[in-house]
Amino acid sequence: MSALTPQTHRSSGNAPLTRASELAADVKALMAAGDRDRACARFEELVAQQQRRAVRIAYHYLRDAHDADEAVQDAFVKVFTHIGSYREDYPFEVWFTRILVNGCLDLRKARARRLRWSVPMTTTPDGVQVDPPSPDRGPEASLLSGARGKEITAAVARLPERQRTVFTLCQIGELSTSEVSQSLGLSEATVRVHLFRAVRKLRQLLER
Amino acid sequence: MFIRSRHLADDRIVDACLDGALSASEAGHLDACPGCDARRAEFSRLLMDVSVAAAEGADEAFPEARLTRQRSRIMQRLVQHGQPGRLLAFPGSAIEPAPLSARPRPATRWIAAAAAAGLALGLLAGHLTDRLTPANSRRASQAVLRSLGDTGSAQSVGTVRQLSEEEFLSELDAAVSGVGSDALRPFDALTPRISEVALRE
Ligand SMILES: [Zn+2]
Repeated sequence: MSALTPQTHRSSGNAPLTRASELAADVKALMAAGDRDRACARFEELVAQQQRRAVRIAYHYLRDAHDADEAVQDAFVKVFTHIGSYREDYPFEVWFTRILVNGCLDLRKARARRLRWSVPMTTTPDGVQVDPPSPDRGPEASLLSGARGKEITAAVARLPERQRTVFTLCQIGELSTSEVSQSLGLSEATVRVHLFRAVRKLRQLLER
Repeated sequence: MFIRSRHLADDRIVDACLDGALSASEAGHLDACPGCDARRAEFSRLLMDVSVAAAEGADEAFPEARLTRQRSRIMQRLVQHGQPGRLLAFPGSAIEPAPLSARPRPATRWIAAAAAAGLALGLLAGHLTDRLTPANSRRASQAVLRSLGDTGSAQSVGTVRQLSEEEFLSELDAAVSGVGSDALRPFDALTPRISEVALRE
């Protein structure tokens, strides 16, 4: 498949692939052809195209902007270094989301480990006052303008984890239930159940 | 107009709001029943509100300038480390350096606490090596000794500082759980571990 004719890329279901999938296929082909510079240029386009969605997912998954930044960077670097394993007939968004979610998991485990082994202190040995480690500086602490916005974001943060994951990928990551099921390795029925529970819980939390 | 006697359950209404295909009779009912249609409108509004608010929350934390910086950093990392076709790195190795080194971390005494705990564990594990579960204890002991730079003494705290934070804490966790050798298993970044996504509901 030529890297120069992305419009010819087709999914296995014969549906046209997304722009992101086309770009990923181009990067793969260019790398295979040894044209790293053009592959990088094309990859930067891919990052720009997927970045907003990625940070939204990671931010709501990790509830911390720094961690989200780190997770998104790592995910894109992994994508590039493993572009050879990308299947051109597979939606890039699904493949990428798998990598991103796995990265978020690793970061969360690392964060938990840090908390487990840390002894917080508010002064250095030199007596300098420092900030104590804050718990998740979550979206609820963000500068959302409206009170309703804050209330909604806090409600999402209060969802049980699996519900929040599925809800985040569907409603914030803009994946279909079928794509979420592929990304997470869950059946589509299970995804729908978690999604419904999330919506029901949100309605309950947001009822006045 | 004929209205199917039973109203749609909430999950079917939510499915209708998403991409779920309704059966012909369900769709017919939804079209004809003002009550169910009102519920659909309510759920649709809720979904829309939540999606918009959630996206705005993330977008405020990541304004365009921050995305641009992030993109530059990614491209920089590709130049520095991105060699395609390489094996996935072990945690803490050069291919996946601890990113965002400039990221401010709250000051803690974790290194001292972890070193003390690790040392105590190493001594305990070493003591038990010949008496209880030899294999596990030896592995735990070795993991701790590795994390202490193989000197096995309290003087090695200086060596500890050369290890990455993650590497060191992983070793400690491994030593505690008695699965030290697992720390050497390459991590599989491309296989979802959904079982870990949520163990609790
Ligand atoms: Zn009805």
